[in-house]
Amino acid sequence: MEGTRYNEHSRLEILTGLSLIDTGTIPEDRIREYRQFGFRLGREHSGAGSVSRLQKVGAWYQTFMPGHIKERAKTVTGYLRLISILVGIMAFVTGAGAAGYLFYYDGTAPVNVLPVLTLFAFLPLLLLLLSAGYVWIGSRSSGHLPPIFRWIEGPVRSRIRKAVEDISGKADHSLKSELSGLRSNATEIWLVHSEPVRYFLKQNLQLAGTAYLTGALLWMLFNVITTDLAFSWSSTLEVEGEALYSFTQIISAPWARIVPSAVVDFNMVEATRYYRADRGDFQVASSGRWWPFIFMTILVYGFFPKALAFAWYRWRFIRTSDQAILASDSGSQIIGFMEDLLVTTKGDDDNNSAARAGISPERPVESSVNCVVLFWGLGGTDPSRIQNVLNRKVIFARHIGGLNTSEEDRNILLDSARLSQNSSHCDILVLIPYEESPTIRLEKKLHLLAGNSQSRIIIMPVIEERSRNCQANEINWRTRVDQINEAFGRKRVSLDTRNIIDSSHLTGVT
Amino acid sequence: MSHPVFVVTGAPNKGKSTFIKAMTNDESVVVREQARTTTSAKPYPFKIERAIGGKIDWETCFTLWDTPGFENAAEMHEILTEWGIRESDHPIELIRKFLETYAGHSDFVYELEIFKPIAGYACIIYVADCSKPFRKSEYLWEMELIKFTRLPRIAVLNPVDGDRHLESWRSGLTDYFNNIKVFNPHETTFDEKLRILGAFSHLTDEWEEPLNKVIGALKMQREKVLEECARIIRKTILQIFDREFSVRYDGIRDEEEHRVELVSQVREFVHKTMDDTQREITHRFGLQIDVAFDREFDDNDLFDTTVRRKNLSVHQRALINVMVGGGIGAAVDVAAGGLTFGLFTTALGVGGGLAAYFKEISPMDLVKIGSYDPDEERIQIDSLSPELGLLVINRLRQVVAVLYNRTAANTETVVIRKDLDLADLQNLGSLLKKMAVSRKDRYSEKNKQKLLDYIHEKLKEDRTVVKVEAT
Repeated sequence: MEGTRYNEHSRLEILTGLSLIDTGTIPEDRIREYRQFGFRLGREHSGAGSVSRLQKVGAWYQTFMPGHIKERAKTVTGYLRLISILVGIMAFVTGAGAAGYLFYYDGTAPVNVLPVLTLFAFLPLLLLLLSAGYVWIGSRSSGHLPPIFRWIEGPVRSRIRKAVEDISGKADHSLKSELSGLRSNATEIWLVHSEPVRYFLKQNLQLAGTAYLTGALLWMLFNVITTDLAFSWSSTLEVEGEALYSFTQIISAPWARIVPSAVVDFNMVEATRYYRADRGDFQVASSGRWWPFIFMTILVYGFFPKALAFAWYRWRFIRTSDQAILASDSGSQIIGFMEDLLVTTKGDDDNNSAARAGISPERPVESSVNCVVLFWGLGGTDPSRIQNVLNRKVIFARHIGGLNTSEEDRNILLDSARLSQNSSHCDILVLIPYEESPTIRLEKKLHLLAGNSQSRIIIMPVIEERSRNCQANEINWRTRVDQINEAFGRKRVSLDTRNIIDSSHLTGVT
Repeated sequence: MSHPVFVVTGAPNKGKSTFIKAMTNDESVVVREQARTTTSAKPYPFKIERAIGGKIDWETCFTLWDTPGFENAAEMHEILTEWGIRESDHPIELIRKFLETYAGHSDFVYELEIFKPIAGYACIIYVADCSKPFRKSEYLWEMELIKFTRLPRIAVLNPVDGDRHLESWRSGLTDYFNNIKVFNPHETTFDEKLRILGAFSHLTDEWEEPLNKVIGALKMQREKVLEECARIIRKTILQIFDREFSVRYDGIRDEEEHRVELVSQVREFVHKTMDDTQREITHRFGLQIDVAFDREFDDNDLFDTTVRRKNLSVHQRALINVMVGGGIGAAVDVAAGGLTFGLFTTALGVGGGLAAYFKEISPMDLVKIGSYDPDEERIQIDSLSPELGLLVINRLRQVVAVLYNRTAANTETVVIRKDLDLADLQNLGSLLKKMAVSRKDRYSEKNKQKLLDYIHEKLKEDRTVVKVEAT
């Protein structure tokens, strides 16, 4: 299917599009279409391996994403791409220009090897090593900002949080709700979108570096081919020829066997020393033989590391974009829609009646997506009844919290994590009493789950009846889920307020 | 312990702070819809004025501790049970050990706050929301922890959103608490608050006497506030009657135009004075609540004689007019021996009915215009109608009646929608008539005392008889 294929351009476009769409306002009949589409997609690919969730979202995007959002997403990604191309071109021209300056030889003073190597090989390598060290430091602590900014990150964030809380304290309910939504969106951007954006920037920086060195190498080759270049080495410091020779030996070690012609010998080093005031023993005849060494040095210590770094960041960008597409609120909602609504709806009942009446039902076959269901508290509910409510195959359902001991909970949580890991496309659904507020006890269980399973953890509210306090609790739960994700440093837990379960379905008492 | 100390506990977001705000009327208690509004234990001492050592001073009668909600009671209970308790020890010693061992531990950050004041042998008040279903698995461990302390404890059920689950809560809490009371901080009355305090006093013999003293003092304090309110209302009436209103005489305008300007002056002054009085009354009750009169009712009715006509609507007046007019017409027709063919009945009936719609009732009746002062070139009001005084008293009575039972927990604006029947103040009519007209009568000590007694009496009546139509 064409819609299931997308390159990284459309990946960026999908991510932008998902951040622009409000899935909460999608009408039920439209969602029904998504379900049918998801079902057809699964059936068409049943022979050729299952369709990944990412492919499903891609196909959904191509088919259902409203035109105006697609246009906006295209424009945004188009601009980003244009900026990348312009930066690449500018870097290329700058590299070529720098090479043009450094390799300029009008027959008087020969080209000095030392600044050429410094600018085109050692400096880019040093910068790359520094950035690698920087990544290493960054990976040892949480957060997305560079370490230097993290010192001020804490106080700034706590001030912003306090300001929002102060405003919330004085605001009416609708404003509170909006503030909570705003906070939630900010956390979503922070945890979900910031990582691919970071890698996108890094990828472009490395692209610029690679383009710069490509420009330099091509210009050098052009000069070597079209003009008669003379190289020398010259320094104000009293550097011995032997020392430089040793240095070149170390540098050329990686290619000494493969390209021996790109290794300089001691005589050549001695013969090409150049003093401005007194040309000394400088021998013009030997001076052209430096170029293969310079070329290889720039290639191996400048170009290759940059190109590798570019490939690495590009791969990371692709990975994190894919993760972000699936982890984003909109993305996970879309998947939820396509893999059947989690909770049985009235429409399904209608379809069941239609099937009983002999009318060909429109309902998709039962979802192949598995789930592990954990009941947080919810005393009086029967886990075996959950299968009647969910449109997914429940492979494990247990009570946690409530009257359980910590040890019992721990065992159940580890079993859940293991089962979800062993089963493909398996979500962990945590059913919570929506009337109650989230607690530290639950947070600890979620941390344990997230630490032992990579599956999506979805918090699903169970209510006895819709009351005014549920709205207040939505803010409480949303805020807490944001905080949990912030503590994880990435989005692991989501709150699904679209699929609210009526507790009577789980108790049998209406 | 010098005075009773209660620690208010419960699950998160169940109205613990609201309960404290209602009981203490302390505006500094922070109440929000969001959970985790209270993150640390904080004492709210309830103080009343007493003569201590020859001078009037504040005396703390009891202290309510506000605490965060239980968030990890299950694990705390598990640890305490694991440690076990020796027969000779009081469980509080074990709780103290827990507080020391787990000080600063993030898993028990809220439990540590809750049990810090409890470790001082306080009584425990457990607040629960009985509009939510009682799920034992949800609340068991916090109730077990409270029971574990072996301290006197009482449960207060707060029907935040109705009392659908009251019975299941009652039966669920019976094994854990010495007493269970229902208390809605938003809709409570003053007497209800005293009843709750009475229930607290029965928790322990030691605190029965001090709490009974508090109840007595609170009652006395309320009486004093009512008397003060009566004085404030009397002051307002005298201020309104005392005020001189005048407009510059303008030869081009007729008398009616001058009257309109004068009435508008009176209207503005009365509104402002009443606003000030409402604020003063609210302050006397120790509250920071806005009081407003329904906009439409406020703008029109104060000076509208419909009020004086026992709140008849225009349609009702039209009906009366039709009946009266028609009756007179019928009498004429009968007198004419039927020669008029019922013409008078029809004409007067219809005319009377229509008049109710077309004839605007003038508020001018409330203002008796005085003579023209040629020296000052001004026209002034001779006197205001005593009915204006009755209207003002009736409105301020309603404000007092609403605030009497209000607590700081309910911060919604009081909106009064309807006037009370003026007939309720009929005995005051002749007194106010005299006081409105004559300055001498206004400042006669005897009349002033009579007015004060009458208003005070009415305010006391209003406590028990609900006449107020307010939201």
